Amino acid sequence: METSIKNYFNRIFGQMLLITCVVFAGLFLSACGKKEEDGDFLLEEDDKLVVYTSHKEEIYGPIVREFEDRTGIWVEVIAGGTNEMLDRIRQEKENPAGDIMFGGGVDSLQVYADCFEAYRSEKSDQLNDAYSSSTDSYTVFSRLPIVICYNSKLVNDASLPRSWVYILNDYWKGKIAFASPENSGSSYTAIESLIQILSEDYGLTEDEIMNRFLDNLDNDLLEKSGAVLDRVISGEKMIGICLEEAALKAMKTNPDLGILYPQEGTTALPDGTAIIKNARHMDNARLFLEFSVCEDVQKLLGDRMYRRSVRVENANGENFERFYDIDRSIADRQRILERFNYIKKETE
Amino acid sequence: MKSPFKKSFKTELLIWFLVVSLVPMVLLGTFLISMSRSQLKREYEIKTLAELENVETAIAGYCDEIHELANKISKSPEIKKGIMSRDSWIKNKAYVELYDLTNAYRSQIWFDIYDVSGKNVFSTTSRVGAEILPSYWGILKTAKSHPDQFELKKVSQYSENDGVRIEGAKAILNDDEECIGYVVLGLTDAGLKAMLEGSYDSGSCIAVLDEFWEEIYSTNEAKERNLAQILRERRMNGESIKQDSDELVFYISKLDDLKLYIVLGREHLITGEITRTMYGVMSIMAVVSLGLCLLAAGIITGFLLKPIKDMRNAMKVVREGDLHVRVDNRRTDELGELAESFNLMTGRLEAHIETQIAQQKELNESNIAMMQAQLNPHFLYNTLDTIKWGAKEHGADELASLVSNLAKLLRTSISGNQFITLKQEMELVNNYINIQNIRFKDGFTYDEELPMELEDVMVPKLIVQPIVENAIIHGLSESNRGHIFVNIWHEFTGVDSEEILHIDVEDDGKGFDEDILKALNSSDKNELKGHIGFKNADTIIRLNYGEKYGIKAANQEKGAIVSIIMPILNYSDNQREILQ
Repeated sequence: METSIKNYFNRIFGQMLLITCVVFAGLFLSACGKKEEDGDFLLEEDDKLVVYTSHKEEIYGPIVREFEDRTGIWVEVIAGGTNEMLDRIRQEKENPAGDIMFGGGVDSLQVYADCFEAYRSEKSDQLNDAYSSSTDSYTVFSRLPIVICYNSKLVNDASLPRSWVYILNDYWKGKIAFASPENSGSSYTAIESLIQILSEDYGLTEDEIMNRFLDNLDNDLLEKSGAVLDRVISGEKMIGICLEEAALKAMKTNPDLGILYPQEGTTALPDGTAIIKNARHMDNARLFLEFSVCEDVQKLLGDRMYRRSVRVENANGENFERFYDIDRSIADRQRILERFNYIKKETE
Repeated sequence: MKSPFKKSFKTELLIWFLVVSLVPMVLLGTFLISMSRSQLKREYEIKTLAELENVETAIAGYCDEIHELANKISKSPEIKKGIMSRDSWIKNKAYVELYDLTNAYRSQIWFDIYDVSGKNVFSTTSRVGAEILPSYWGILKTAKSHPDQFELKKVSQYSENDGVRIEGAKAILNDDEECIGYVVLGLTDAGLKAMLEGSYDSGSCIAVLDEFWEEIYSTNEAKERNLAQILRERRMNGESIKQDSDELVFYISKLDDLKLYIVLGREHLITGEITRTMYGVMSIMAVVSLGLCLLAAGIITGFLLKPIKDMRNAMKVVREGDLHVRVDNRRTDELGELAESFNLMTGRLEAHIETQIAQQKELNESNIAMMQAQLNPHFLYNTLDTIKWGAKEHGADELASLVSNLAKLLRTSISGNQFITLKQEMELVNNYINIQNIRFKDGFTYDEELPMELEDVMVPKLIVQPIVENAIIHGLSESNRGHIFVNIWHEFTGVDSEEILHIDVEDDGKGFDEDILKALNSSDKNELKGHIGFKNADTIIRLNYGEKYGIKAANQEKGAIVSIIMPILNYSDNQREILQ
């Protein structure tokens, strides 16, 4: 009797359990079925490109946007300092996250040549070949001349240092704005250019040049290259050595700022673009590289970005440029930076 | 199979209460919660999608409006003339026209007219100096290559039009369909705000993205959450656009004509907290019902179990032999009935046992009496024997004969055998006749007829003697010389050829009274007062051989005849021994 009742209850209980399971399974299935798909928003790998850049947004922004517009490729930009990005590329060498390094002086890019894919641009014959890579590790992007800027309120037209050698004159002692070459790549290029030009034209030794230049800096070395123009504009310093790009841009809003191209000429070390070895989106990286040296982009450099094109046709009529010996620059680097360190230590 | 641990009625009841009350409640609760969640979610989704449509319509409407405006400007002859001319009068006229057309929008949109080379000719803003927009690049390039289109594009950083988020450009064509310039509309934050105003709830986050999911405009909340950037990163990294960890639910729609995406983010209607609260309430209810179950189980168990326990205890007492126990039977339900029955049962049992005890007691008493009575016969018999020999010595032969017959009679009657042979029975009758003859001084004569073949027939002891005694005492009481004749014969009767024994006792006395005769021949012989010998003999025969045998009596011409009728059973020697 008892067992039969128990069986009866067990059966009822079993049925209840079954019904519950069915209901819950139904709910579960309906919940699953409603899950929306992201299929519409799925990007093909072919449509992607990851750009590492040391450019400022005002440079890469319009170029990347136009690239996207014209190719339909989605670009992810990761921006940072030149050394930061190059170190990152080296770290990721085994499994690269980026596809292309956009920006960075060609001297720096050459140092990291092992991380880059050898690629010769289809347009290489239209480009300035003075600094082209012997290993095709990079392709030049824009030329950045070193210039002397001055505050026209403080410096009389007649007393302008029209030659690099005037910079070394006692007259400018304590009046020159210059950024630490250790922190600023362009600043190192500037001092190296000074040494290369003056030793070539006047037979001065590196020591003579360094001694007199450092003496003229009067132990006042600026932290960042951006500060050079600020000091000149504010009148703290009369003249400064900086990139033409920065000076031209600053002139737009500061009519008192002047630019001087020394009579010996000046160097215009280009920056470049390099495809990262084993990039995941190799084809798109090549497209981007080709785009960076196309006519429109190179024209825009001059029209809107205060830079000089690396395309031969855009350099017509220029005669200021002096060759910058990259190998020598790399060889001299340690020694020259140490001189600055020594000076800096003395001041501290 | 018995459970290894003892299950009490209470726990079983509790388990079933829990199953019956908790399981449906929890199931129903869970079902309702998920149902209401999905229902609310659906409604919320519909509402949000409607809102998204609103936003779409607002943007599309606004874009149509400004497209129309750009069309008007690009078709204005004054402006066309103004672009081509250097005459300041004509330029002024163009400006007047431009301002006329753009009156309603200038607070939201900047209007610029460029010539074909990208040089700024007219501007509704007060920018200093002539600006050049590259005509080989960006929106001017698009406008030139697609003069009929009006595409909105995110403004690149290089533009100095601070505050302008998106631009749309339209080529200005001369009569020969050649491009002579461009009209560029720059939408400021204010413009975008005006565009979206009123189309969305204050609780929603709206972000407008371009073709490549670059942020064009975000409401403050969307900006705070960095919505556009997060979504673009997800899309770039191939992650799911909507993720479970999101605080917002996203709805994304694409405006195909404008190549814009609208993202609408809303907070989840049903947050985890609400769900938790719902489940919490359910849990509390479950606990309450658990408590109720415990209480109810306790009460019902008590209600049901108390009488059962009482009964169990009473049973225990009964098992120990005490039948006085009674249980409370005041309840009117089945348990009350059960208690009643129990009480009745114990009552009857008690009464029965009491009767039995009384009977046993009585039996014992009679047994004792019998045993006491049995002591005497042997003693009596021996004494009689002694008397007989004493009488013979003294020459009192009559006394010796009397005592000898009495002793014989006594010996047969006290022997343990129930059955004796007919011959022995007849000897016993002779002994009795002898004694009576001495007592009545030969007042009657006696004869008997016993065929030889019937001598060994087994009959119950002392069945003939009472009949003879009755004939002597009652039949011959008034006559001096009576005669008693015992005639024994047998016959075969019936289909079975049964052998029937007849023992007829005849006398020539006064006969039976009519009423006694009637009683003798009826089945009820209880009325035979004074004829106890008859009754006993009849009863013995009936008990031994069946109802159709027994004793029959009748009056004759002179005297009466009493017949003992019984079957002759052929006993084997063994059976004989046992019977004797």
